[in-house]
Amino acid sequence: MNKDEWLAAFHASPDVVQDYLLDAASSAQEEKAQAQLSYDNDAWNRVMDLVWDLIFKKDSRESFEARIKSVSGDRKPEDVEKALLRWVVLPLADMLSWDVESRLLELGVPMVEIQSSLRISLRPVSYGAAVRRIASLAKISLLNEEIVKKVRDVLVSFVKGVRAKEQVLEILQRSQSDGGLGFASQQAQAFLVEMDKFLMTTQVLSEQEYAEWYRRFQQEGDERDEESQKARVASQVSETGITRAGSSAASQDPALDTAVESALAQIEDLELDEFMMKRLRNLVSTRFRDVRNAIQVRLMLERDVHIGGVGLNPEAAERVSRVIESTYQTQREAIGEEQRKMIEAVQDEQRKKIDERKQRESEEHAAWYKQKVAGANGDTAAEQLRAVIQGQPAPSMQDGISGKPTMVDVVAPTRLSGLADELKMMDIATFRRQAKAPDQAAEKIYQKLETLKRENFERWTDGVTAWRSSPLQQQYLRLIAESFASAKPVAQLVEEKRKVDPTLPSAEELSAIIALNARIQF
Amino acid sequence: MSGEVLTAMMLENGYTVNARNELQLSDPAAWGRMKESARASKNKSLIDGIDAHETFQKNSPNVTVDTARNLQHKRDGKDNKIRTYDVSREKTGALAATAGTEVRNSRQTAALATLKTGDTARAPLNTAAALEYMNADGSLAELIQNTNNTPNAMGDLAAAVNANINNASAALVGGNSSTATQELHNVIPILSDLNQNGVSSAHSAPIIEGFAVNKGVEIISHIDNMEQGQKKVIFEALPRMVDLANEYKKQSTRTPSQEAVVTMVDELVKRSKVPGANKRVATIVLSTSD
Repeated sequence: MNKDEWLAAFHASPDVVQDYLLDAASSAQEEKAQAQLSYDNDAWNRVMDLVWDLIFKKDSRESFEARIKSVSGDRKPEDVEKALLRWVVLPLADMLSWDVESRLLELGVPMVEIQSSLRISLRPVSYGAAVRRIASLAKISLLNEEIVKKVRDVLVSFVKGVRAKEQVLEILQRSQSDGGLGFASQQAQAFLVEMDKFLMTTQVLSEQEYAEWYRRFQQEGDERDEESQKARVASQVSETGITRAGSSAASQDPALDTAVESALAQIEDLELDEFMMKRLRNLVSTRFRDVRNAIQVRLMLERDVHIGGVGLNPEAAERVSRVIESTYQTQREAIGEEQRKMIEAVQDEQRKKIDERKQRESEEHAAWYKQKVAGANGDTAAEQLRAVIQGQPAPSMQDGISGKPTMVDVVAPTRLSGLADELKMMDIATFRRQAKAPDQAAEKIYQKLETLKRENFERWTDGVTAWRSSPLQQQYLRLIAESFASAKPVAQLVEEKRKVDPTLPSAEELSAIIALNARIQF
Repeated sequence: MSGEVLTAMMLENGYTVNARNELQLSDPAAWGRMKESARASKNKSLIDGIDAHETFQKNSPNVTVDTARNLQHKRDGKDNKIRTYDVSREKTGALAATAGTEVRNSRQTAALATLKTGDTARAPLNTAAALEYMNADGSLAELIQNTNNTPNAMGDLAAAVNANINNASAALVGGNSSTATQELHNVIPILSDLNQNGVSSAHSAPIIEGFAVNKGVEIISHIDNMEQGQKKVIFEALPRMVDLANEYKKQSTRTPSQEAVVTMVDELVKRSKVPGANKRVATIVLSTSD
């Protein structure tokens, strides 16, 4: 890649990538790989060309591996690949469509080493991965999984608004024996700074949400690959003249083929061998399909044959380029129309297949359901079941004999609520229903939060957030604010107000809530 | 990008209207938060719009709210700079930025007026006015247009920042990057526009030569210690420097300043091969097949 191509690709990449590439950290990573492989500058430049093609031109994994074999010299290709992926590519792995981490694992790099590497985030990450990346950016080593889990909980609590920045700083610095992380002040500050920067630029998801996102991402990637595979096959067919067997022996792109042939005929003899003719044909075809623009074609015509070009001199390249452009001007519309039709035909076929599959599945499901219900107790059972679902009493034999219509009240469907929902809806009446004594009611609420905590930390933070947004907690906060404003003790204020509105929390209830709030602080 | 939306955004987030009906920043923290959230949204046109409107407002503190609402900011493909149009002045009545009249901020207007007054004889360039124009977000291509398109003016401009370049390189060698950042304050707006379409190699040559003569090599070699924004500008100007050096290498004779450019690039090549050098500088200077 020459400097102009490299700069164009650099400018086209996201800002965070540009910043990383200009950063000393990126130079240091490359230095490590170069030192590990003991390459001199020339050899290093050759392998870095492959890396830039991989990152900027989205070179495929197979092609990358194959090209490494050709430039690795006396080094083992696996070692070269490992060093490049580990130090140079991994930080920018989000720029690639394939999984660099998996390949590194295959090459024998330990997971811990991969996870603690510097990474530039262009995609969403899970809480766990975010913690590792922030720690690595802040130059903090997270020694074991237990620490990672604790820091993850801190991050979750911050993202969910349960802890403020100062509280995060405090818990990071608090000693481990007191439930903190035991970071030094400088480390904690660095972590906070990097966390802020990271959250500003990267979407952080829970592990479950991330798994769902990743599944969708892979699915889309597979679809993209499939499409590009189809396009590649189609282009190979049109470029190499390989025809399909059977009735479709002729190419599916007659307009494109005609245009390519016409251009090649006008170009006349360039004294190219068969292989280079194929390359030229391919180049013309890519121009006509708008894969390359005129400038790119011109560059390819002049580029050396060893690096994928046609190797023409500037005069010949100019002449060929002019012929290609003039044919492009006259034929492009017909080619475009033909390609549009092809795409529509494929889409129609896909739609038809999807409809057929849906129809088949629904028929199969209907047959299965009928068989299941009828098999149990005949049609009467199905009717009874339907009646029960609708909230009617099971029809008795009497009903069946008299045949009287039954009037049924319309009732709202029962809504199931979890513990967090329960806490969110907690008002003074619900609070009083929990137990006779306010302390016991508060204890029950605390137990609910503990149950959530046992499930997982995120559920607990959801529960705390729900409790904090509940009508009761809001009412309590209003009373506190009013107490400050009127400079009266809360107890006195409440007693005065309860004379007008006895539904307000009593002083005992308030003190139970205050105690509860103190217990759910971090 | 519509000035109406951007002005409303400013008034919602930390700006107020003063007695003279001008926009005034009264809550910098609120405005800072607004800009942070805009950056977090990654909406590039919003970020550019906010920057352009804020820059215009800073450089034209006397602009009224009504004028600010009538502005439109549009990126010009010619030099990639954002230009500002006043749509209330357009002739056809259609609210299109391109149909409006281009307006300059007050600092640019004042600087150009001084430049033209002091530059009637075409020599020498009023460098103070030219630097003021560049520092007020002006475009080098436009400055060239306003100085009768002569490379001599660029020589004058380069001479005006010689001391800054020298001081910045000395500061970087001495490990004082904050001094270097200050010293490069006047230099960066000039170097950042070297890649503009309207800046030919004849125009950029005096600037690059001035940079090379004044130990610019040290600035590039210490790029890792520079402030992020300035680092990017220097890096992006580097290919123009390499191209110019390659051009000079083909000449049989060279002036001392041309020789300085060649020496600078040769030195960069040498330093790029040493462990610890910035690899991106190496990517540019060691690139052979361009």
